[in-house]
Amino acid sequence: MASFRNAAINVFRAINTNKATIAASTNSLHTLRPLFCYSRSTPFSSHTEAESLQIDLSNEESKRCLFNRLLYRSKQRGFLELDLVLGKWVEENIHSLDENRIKALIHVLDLENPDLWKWISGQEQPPESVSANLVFAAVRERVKKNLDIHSAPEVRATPGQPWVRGWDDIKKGQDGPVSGNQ
Amino acid sequence: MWRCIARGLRGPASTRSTSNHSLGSHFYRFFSSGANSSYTVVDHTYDAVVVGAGGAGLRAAIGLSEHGFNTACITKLFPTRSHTVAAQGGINAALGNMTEDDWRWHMYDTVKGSDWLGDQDAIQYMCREAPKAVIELENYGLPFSRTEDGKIYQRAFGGQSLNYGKGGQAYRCACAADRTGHALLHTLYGQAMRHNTQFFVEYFALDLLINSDGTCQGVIALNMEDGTLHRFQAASTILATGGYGRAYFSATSAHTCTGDGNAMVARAGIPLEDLEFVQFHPTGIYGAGCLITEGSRGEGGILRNSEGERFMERYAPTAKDLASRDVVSRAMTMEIREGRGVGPLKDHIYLHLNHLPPDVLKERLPGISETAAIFAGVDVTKEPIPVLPTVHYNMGGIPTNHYGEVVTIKGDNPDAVVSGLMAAGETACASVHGANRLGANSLLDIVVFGRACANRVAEIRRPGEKQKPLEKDAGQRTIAWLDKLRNSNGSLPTSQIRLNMQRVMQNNAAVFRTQETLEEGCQLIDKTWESFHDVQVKDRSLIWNSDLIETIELENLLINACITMYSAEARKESRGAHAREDFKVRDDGNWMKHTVGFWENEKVRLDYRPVHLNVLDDEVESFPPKARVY
Repeated sequence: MASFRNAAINVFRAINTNKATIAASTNSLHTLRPLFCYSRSTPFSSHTEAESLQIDLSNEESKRCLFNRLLYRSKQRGFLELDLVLGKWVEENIHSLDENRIKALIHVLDLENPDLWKWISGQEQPPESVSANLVFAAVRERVKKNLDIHSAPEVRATPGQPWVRGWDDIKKGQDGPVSGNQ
Repeated sequence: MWRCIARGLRGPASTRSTSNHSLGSHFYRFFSSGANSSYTVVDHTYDAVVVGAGGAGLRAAIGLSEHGFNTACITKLFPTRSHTVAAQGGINAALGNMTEDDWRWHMYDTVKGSDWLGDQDAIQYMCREAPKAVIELENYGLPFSRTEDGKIYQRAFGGQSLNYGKGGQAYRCACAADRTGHALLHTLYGQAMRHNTQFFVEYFALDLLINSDGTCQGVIALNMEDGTLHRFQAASTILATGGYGRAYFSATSAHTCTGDGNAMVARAGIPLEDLEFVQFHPTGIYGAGCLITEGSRGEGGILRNSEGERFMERYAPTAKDLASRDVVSRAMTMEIREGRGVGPLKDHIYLHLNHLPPDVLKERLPGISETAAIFAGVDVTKEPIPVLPTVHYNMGGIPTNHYGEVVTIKGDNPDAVVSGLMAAGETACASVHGANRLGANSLLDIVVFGRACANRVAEIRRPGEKQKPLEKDAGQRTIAWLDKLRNSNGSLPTSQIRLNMQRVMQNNAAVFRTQETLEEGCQLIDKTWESFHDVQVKDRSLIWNSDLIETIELENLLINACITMYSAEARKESRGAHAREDFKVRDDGNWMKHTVGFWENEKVRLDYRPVHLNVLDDEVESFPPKARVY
């Protein structure tokens, strides 16, 4: 069923796609040669992408492409905290990851932002499959180390208690929240 | 040293003929002069193309598909990675679930919050449509938090009142626990999938395809995965590319917020509106941008300068550190500008919490200690947190009417519609936020105007309509520009120019604005733009070339930054988020108008268009301007 849907979608895409030409400059050299582009399956879903993403470390170019792609996705989470924490870790470590850890990273990248942030920062307990992920464990360990060095236990939030945010600061008063200015 | 290729619009008098030559299934591989590189161009035709797959883009795509339009959605990120995911506050709508409520009261609060710069017809539209838009989201399956009797739970937010400000606090903000933005994205994405929207993921939109009569016929984009270029022809193009917070040094925005849609519009000769209105939170962590809640000052936190002085005592003798966020932000910036900032560059301020009892930090400010440890490397019981005012919303953007159609000044018509082009969400300027956004109206804006764009397309277009062919040279100058940029051999890395821009914006166009700071800022941002001509792109590949992508994003940010700086310098009044020390009052006589900034030949040209004080019909009366006390 899934493969049929993908095939149908590709046919649909072909109907809407016409090859065309355009010159980058007026003095371009023309060569007529057909090239049939590979059409990646769509619509996109993160699960499909994880399965279909090729890990090819056999040459420098495919390695560069893979690393740049994973780095892009790590630093561009759309969620500032993860852009910073995950992006920095991947930037520092990606060149020393073996194939297993690259697969682990791909699985981490598929997790949902609010959940991933709560698990990495220790606000909530992650599921076992996430805890066992080597890349998740390494990022979590880095964050935990920072916390152990710079945050005394007596001032840390009780596990499960939501952290205050700056987004929705309102003046305190009647009906004010229990914690800070949530 | 090279110069950006001029890419102004062709005049309507152009005699260029349109080629109808079809090349069937073959295409040419081209070699650009001076480089051993080639560009493969693929053409697509849709009824509509949406750029950006955040909340506004997804909502537009759903509506278009529901109306039967064949729709493509181009996004540089996975749809659920848009910055909308970070929005936690909720969506305003006068549902009346907690108390009596009325959309007219919501409208009044929004107009007032906008400091009367908002267009009242668009604000009316947004507030009146809000309940319908929220109910639709509920029907799509968005998991709103509930009251005990099953209604959508709504909570209080700053600036929300009943009975036109006279009736006390309104409870108007509907949310999905603490992850409304995330829930919205997933709900909308699931719905878009159900309607077979065609997603082009990790495609970077480069430019609009504007034809010789000024009509938008689509966009040209780069597929980051394989380096091919794609021309998406469509009768309707909807931009939903988010804000440009990353133009500043300190921003809560994700790193993806680079104002790409704004820049595409500006390069096409269409102005950007009201960019001078930028919203700040006083205490973002230096270098990271994550916010430290104002509640920390509510619990006794103290801001100190490099001399250890509690300087808020000088600026707000009574309220001190509890003064409103704009007063605190300006005071911090003044201390920094006068040389009393802290740190090696003296460019930030210390927030002291070390005197607070541990149980206050643990129980009343949960997560503050952890946030400071993770992002600042600071133990709050021993050291202060380095903070500075941080951007968290851009009120300005692409000018649109209340249908979502992009408008520009043409002759003596200040509301001329740009055929084929629309915009929604933070990238657009409807203008419903005016000079200052009301809390929790940003998600509402996203949903209402994404929806409005789709509804408007359905009113004026039909699915499968025949489209005028693209002109032969459509996208050509974009490809030449891309090629030039990719082969840039200057001496300055992208990251250095970006940091320079961010520091200029932070230092000269953040919350402290005077003629002196803004004039200097204009000169400095011009120099930064000039330095972009000396940019260096090391990677020549077209495939996953993040160096190239970041350089394109930098140009996009620079255009936003230049227009912001010049717009702020020109506005000689204080209004909403634009507070000038040298023009302290709002000046409705001279300045009740929208700034529009054109980007022409690498320079900013300003013009103005009237604020819409009119409303749409007799369901509500217009709210006349009322003085606002700062």
